[in-house]
Amino acid sequence: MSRMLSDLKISLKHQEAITGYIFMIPFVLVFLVFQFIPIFMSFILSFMNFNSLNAVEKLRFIGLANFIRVFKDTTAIDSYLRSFQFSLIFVTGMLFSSLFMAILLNRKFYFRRTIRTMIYLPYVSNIIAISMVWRIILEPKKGPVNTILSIFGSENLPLWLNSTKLSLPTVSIINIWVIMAFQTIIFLSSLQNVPNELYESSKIDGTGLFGRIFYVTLPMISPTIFLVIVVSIIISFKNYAIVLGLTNGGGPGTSSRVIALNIYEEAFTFNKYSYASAQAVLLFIVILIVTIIQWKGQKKWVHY
Amino acid sequence: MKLKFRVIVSLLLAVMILGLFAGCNKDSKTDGNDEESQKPAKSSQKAPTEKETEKKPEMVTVFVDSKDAEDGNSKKLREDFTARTGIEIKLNVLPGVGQEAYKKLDIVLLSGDETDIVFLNQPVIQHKYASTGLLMGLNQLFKDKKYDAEKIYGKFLKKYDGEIFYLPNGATVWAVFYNKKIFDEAKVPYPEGEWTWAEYIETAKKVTDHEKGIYGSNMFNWDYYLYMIARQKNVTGYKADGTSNFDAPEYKESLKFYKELSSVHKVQPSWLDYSSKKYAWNEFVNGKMAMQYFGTWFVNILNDTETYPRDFDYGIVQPPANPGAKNNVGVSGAYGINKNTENPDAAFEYLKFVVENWYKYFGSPPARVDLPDDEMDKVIKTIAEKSGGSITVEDYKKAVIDNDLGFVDEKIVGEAAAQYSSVIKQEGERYLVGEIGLDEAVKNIKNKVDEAIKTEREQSEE
Repeated sequence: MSRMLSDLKISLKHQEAITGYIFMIPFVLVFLVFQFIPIFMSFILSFMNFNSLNAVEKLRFIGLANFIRVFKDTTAIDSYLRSFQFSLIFVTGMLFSSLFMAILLNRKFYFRRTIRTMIYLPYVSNIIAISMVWRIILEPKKGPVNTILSIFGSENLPLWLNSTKLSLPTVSIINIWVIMAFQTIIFLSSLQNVPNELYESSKIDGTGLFGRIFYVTLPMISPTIFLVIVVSIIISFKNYAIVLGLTNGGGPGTSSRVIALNIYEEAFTFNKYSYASAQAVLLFIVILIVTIIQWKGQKKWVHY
Repeated sequence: MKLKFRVIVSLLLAVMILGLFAGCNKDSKTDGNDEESQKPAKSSQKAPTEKETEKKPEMVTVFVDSKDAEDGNSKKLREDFTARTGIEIKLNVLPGVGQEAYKKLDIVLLSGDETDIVFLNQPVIQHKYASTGLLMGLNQLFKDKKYDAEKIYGKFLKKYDGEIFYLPNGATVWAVFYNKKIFDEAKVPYPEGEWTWAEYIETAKKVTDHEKGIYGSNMFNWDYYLYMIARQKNVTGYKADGTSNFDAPEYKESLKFYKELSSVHKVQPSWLDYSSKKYAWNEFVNGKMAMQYFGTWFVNILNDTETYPRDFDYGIVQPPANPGAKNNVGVSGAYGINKNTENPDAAFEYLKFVVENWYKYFGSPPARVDLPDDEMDKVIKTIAEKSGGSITVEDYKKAVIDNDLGFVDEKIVGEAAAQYSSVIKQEGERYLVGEIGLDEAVKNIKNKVDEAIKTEREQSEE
């Protein structure tokens, strides 16, 4: 390619630019066709009346009617709130567990490389297979978890995924376990970049283990913490597959019906495509606002 | 130089874009399995001769779900159709089974797909597609072909403002299947003839043996089971003003009945057991359920011992019915023609063949009123033979045809029917796992469905 460009007597600077564009083209095309255009269409659709199969022949703009209806729809509002609840548990749990795991993996111990590989297994496993395994593990009557609890004398055994109160937190925690490896590896690489001299000088100053974590490690990896929080929040709002797999589509009742699931149901079960699009646009706005707040707030605690 | 640079970049971009879209192009209106792929492609390398071009065989394209694509009976039906008419079949396989496949079908039909034949497995789907104009109106076609649908399908024929959009392929009713081995071991006589739901429960109690893990009754976590008593009494799902009728006492009775099978009578696994996938929908085949209340299509599963091996004989008996509710329930599956079809003649031939002959391949009672009695006897004889001695022709006829039960549709069909079904299952589940009481469940279902109906009306006016 570069020889062809040289033959055309194009300057080196432009040759590099052309090569760059060529490398970008596959991504840009796929992004345009499979992401940008559908997102744009969904945005347009949210202002239209495409809420039944026969509406396709008489499509028209109806302004904000779909958006106004969302705010009157208790099922949709409850689903948004459940997503926030899910997100709160997921992001908090993810942050602490992945950081803790990264600190452990950053130390020297036997089979470190094997264990580092093993923690990545849930992340690359099929989500439906994971769901099936966890459903067996948490089976209320004879599942291993409740069997162990009953051996230790527990009488009111939790119903886990079959409990209207526990299903959402349980799914959230399982999701942490599934995705944690990715965040752990990001933290691990960040931890390995903290200069050793800082630890040595803090030791000379008499700082203990926790002091070194709070005054050296955390400030040094704060950009990574920020990245993990932003990414985790976005992942937590797009939690469709794991909830569907573990809870028969948001059950029991609607106790784990998060907004991603609600959008899917509205669109593909009830054929309310515009209404579902309006809910998706609102979800996008919610995520955008949360992310903007984080960007603004990061100046106070992230050290670059 | 700048101009040259821009031209080169633009050219490269154009080539890549064209390449991408050229890859997406296909010269076929279907993307599924090709039934003809079973035959070797003999002349793929050779250009067709003039004679071959002239004699290009007629082709009909058919939507099927992934189960139907592989089902032996369906394959035989399609082969027989081609053998009889010379019309070849190309399948458009939808991913998933049942409800999941229809989610894909909605989108495919909306996108203007021209696949000729659409399978409509239950009344809610039939109502949805017929009332939204995705199916071809069949009156004119039938008139042109001199096809008297009224004469063949009679009471099973459904019309929308006088227009026929689909034809029924069978009238599946419900029956109770029982495990003879469990009954023999418990020394309990087999159920027969008329019986009530109270008698069903008493029988189930006698054959339930928790130590052996045997339950007397098996009704999975399908929404129908939560309102079956009401439907059997033919209590409609909608009031005259179009709002939900779920506050009718019969619906409350239905929910209570289902819950008490496990919580009070202990004859059936709980909702929790079903929803945690401890028991499968067809658990009866595994030999631990004494009785299974199911549609008669289940006989095909029981007779397919290669796929579903079993170590017991089964029996079949008519469903229990309480006084004042002497009805069986059931659904008619149906087939229609896509309104975008470019091939109505071949589509008509397939439609006619499949709905007229469905019962011969699947053993379901036909939705036909023109058949002589001995025609159905032949079909039942085949079912009895395939059962390996489990049931006789008489057993099947008594359970399914020759009894004094009337017939009512099992589904609640009308405005916001999909939401109705979904809400019943959600609120019913909350009641069944003990989160809310019976009255609250009924009230929630009524209110939520009313809200869904109201929204549906508002949205249809927008």
